[in-house]
Amino acid sequence: MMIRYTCLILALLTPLTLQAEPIDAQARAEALIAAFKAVKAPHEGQALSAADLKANEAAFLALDGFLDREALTHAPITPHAAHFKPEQLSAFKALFWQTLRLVAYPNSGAFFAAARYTLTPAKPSKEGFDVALHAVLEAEDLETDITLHWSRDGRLVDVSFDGASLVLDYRNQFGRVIKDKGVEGLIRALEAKHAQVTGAK
Amino acid sequence: MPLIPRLEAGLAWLARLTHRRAGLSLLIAALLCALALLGARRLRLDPDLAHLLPERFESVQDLHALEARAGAIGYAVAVIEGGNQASRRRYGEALAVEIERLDSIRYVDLKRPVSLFEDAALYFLERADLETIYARLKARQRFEARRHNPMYLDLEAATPPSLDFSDIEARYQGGERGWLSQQRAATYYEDAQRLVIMARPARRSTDMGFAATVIEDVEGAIAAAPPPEGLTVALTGRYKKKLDQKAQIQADLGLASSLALLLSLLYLLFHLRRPRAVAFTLAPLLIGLLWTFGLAGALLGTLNLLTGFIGAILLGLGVDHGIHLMSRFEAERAAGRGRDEAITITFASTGRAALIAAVTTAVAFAGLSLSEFRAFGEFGLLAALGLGLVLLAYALLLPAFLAFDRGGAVPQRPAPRRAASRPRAALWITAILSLLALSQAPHLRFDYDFEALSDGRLPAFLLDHEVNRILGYSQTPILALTDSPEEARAITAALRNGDPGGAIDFALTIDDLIPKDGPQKQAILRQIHGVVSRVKPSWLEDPDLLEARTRILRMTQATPPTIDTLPREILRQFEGPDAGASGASGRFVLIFPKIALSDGARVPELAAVARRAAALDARRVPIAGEAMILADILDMVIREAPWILGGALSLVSLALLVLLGHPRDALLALGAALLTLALTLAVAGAAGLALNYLNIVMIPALLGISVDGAVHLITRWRAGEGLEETRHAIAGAILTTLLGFGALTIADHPGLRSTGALAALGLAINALISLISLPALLHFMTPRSPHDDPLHMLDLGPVDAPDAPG
Repeated sequence: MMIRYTCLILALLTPLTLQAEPIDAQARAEALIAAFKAVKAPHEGQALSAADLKANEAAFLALDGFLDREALTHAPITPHAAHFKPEQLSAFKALFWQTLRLVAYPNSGAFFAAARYTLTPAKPSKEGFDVALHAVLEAEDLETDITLHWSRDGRLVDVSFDGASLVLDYRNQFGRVIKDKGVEGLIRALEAKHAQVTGAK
Repeated sequence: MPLIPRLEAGLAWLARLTHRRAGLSLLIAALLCALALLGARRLRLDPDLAHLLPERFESVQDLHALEARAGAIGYAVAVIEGGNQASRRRYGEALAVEIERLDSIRYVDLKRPVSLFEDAALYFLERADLETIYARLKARQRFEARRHNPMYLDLEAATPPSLDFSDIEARYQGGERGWLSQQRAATYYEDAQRLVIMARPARRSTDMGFAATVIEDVEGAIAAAPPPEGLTVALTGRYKKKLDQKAQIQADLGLASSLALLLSLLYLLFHLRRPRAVAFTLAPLLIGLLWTFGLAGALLGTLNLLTGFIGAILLGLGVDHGIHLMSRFEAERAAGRGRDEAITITFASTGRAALIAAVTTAVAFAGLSLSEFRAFGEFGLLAALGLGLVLLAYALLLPAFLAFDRGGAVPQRPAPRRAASRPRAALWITAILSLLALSQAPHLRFDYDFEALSDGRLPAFLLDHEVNRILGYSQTPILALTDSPEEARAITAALRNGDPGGAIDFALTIDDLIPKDGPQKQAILRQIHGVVSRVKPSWLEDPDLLEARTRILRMTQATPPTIDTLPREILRQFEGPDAGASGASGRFVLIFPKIALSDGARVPELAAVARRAAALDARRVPIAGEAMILADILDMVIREAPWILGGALSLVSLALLVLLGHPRDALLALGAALLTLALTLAVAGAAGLALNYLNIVMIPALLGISVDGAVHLITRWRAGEGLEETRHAIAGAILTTLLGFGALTIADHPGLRSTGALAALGLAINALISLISLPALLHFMTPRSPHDDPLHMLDLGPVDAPDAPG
């Protein structure tokens, strides 16, 4: 319950934060990580309890406040938009956002819960600010460098893992799938992924 | 006075003189023998192929230039076999220390300088390939990063990007890249069964004495550090191969000469039937041989592959004269003539024929002596001189020995009736068989395999092939003796671009060991290092992958090699012992042939490519190696062959014309010889006996030998004497010549064996022509009426009795 309220407060405070100039990107990053950690992930082979599902609703809502939905869904598909019919494009973006939330939020939560990480001070970038963090997953003997790319209004517009941009990776992936299977193939693949994720939940 | 009667009179006078002054003749002969012994003691056997060419040849001069700069050429190689790898290595280390202590050894190579090729190996890859490797590693890293990215949705179920680099590896399998790969194939020069120790001799000398010293020293080192139980050590390499080849030729020489002497002795016993007569026949021959060897020692100093057998060959050729002379003497004695009269007749008549036969054979050999190929030239010279000396020995000593002959002559055997009793049939059979044989002439071929010159089946030669296989390259590549890096680069570029037939495998300069674009490659390697270092050891369960990661991390941190960081073991392959640290005296270009050096048909192409590349604008860079020597030998043999054959034919024709004194007689003798030669080559073709670099010498030689029988027959026929005793002597003479040459057929050396086989075939055919065809022809050429020809007293004996005139 405590986490739920925390997330809710964070979400409500977000617009206030955006009004501050300049934003404290490092603090935003820490808040984002905390929001990720608030997401409940099921144990292997088990489903989430009703309470956890309820808590996740609030956590998801809080996280939505950090992420720039338009940037994260629009930027990867824009170069391929010509292949879509208008209604297909908006439906695809909506489904992609939903699926991304269902996958990225719990996975990121699990990741940051298991990781030891250190943040470096924010650096200005073309879009706004970058906050780099070095994460160590001791259980997997994995070290990774993550960069959180913030817009000037304090929304997350991209995430780089070991230098590879998430937006760019999605853009490339969509391009490959469209090339191999067409837009319908891409939509089918996304629907299958969504079904898989929701089925698991 | 015409030549022939003067010749007869002169020979008869000499024979009477030496017979009457037997003691003085023997004393003179003894003095000559003493002098000959002094010369003969100097003689050494030298089987080195390079010594068969004249000094003025480029390949020989270049070889000397190489010896001057590189010091010793090639290695003394010890091969350890048996036991297991660890025991071979252990013993190899100990033996290498012993060998390196020897004064005759400059250095020993036991291990490859892997540190350079291990740590800096990636610098020898092309920059584009390094970039490809980096791109593939990066792609895989990104894939793994996406896989671990908690915010990534995989809609593809993509397979991981491949980390297969076999396509790049394949590009580095052959040529100089392969050589580089080979350098890091194993630490030791070894395979699953053998370990190789390569010892570079210290002195710049290629003579047999030095080769023997090096091998004796290495054998001494092995004796000082004997192999433990289960291990054996065998020697090979350039020096051991030379010694083994020499030993093989010496063994062949001893066996062939002994066999020729024994068989000749047996035949003489059968033919002459009097031990004393046999002794009188053989003694001048052996003394003549001693004089020949004495002269050879004084003139040449060495015997080569072919002249090593001059003893056996002269034994067979020279005994002919003894058989003819002794047979005639015995026949005259059996006919009731006194010793003096028999000697006079023998040397006047048979002596003249022997002299003509000897001169015609000698001029054929003398034609060979014009050859620049020392194997042929010296053989021709010694054979011609030897024949003259043997004949001189007979003229000087046989009448003298006969002064001590107190025995009576053995009654002559009645002459058997033979095929020539049907002269028409004999000629028809000759014609038909000749046509049949000549139809096979197109099957005759020239075997370009250089094995005719050196026996590749000797154990040291076979082991040497194995060593080359283990090394991955030849121990003795062709070397271009460049004076500057610019020259080396120019030659390498010319070799890489000017070899359309693919005779060269690759050429290597010191430049090839200094990677190009070192700093740029270093930058790429640092990037690769960055990628690979992120791969945690804990992710790699396979120990091989774990080791590969460690190795790659080390290799990607290496600095680019420079001339100063090259290991000495590598550098010394490109320079001689006197090269300074800066290589100021110039370094070599190593040229590795793709074709086998036994492939004589393509060796000239290899040599031509190398020579074209070495002909720079400023100067001709010396190019030295066995291939260049072999190419020159082949070129010379092919270029000289028509001239030598033409010369021999002209000289024999002239000698016959002058000495027989009648064009028709000369033509008859020459015809018999040419038919012998043509049929020999045709039958050799049908029998699969190919011509090669050595046995080709038998073509002019057979021309000279084959006229002998015809000369004796025609001389007797001209004199109106019976031919039967002559035919008997001819059969004996050819048989003994055949024994001399035929003894070579038991030689281990393939070239000598084929020379013996071709000679035996030619002599057998010559026997048929001399004993059957020519007498039959002479029968038809004999005038029917006593008024037609002054030779009306011609008596062809029982053979020709039914048709003989008068």
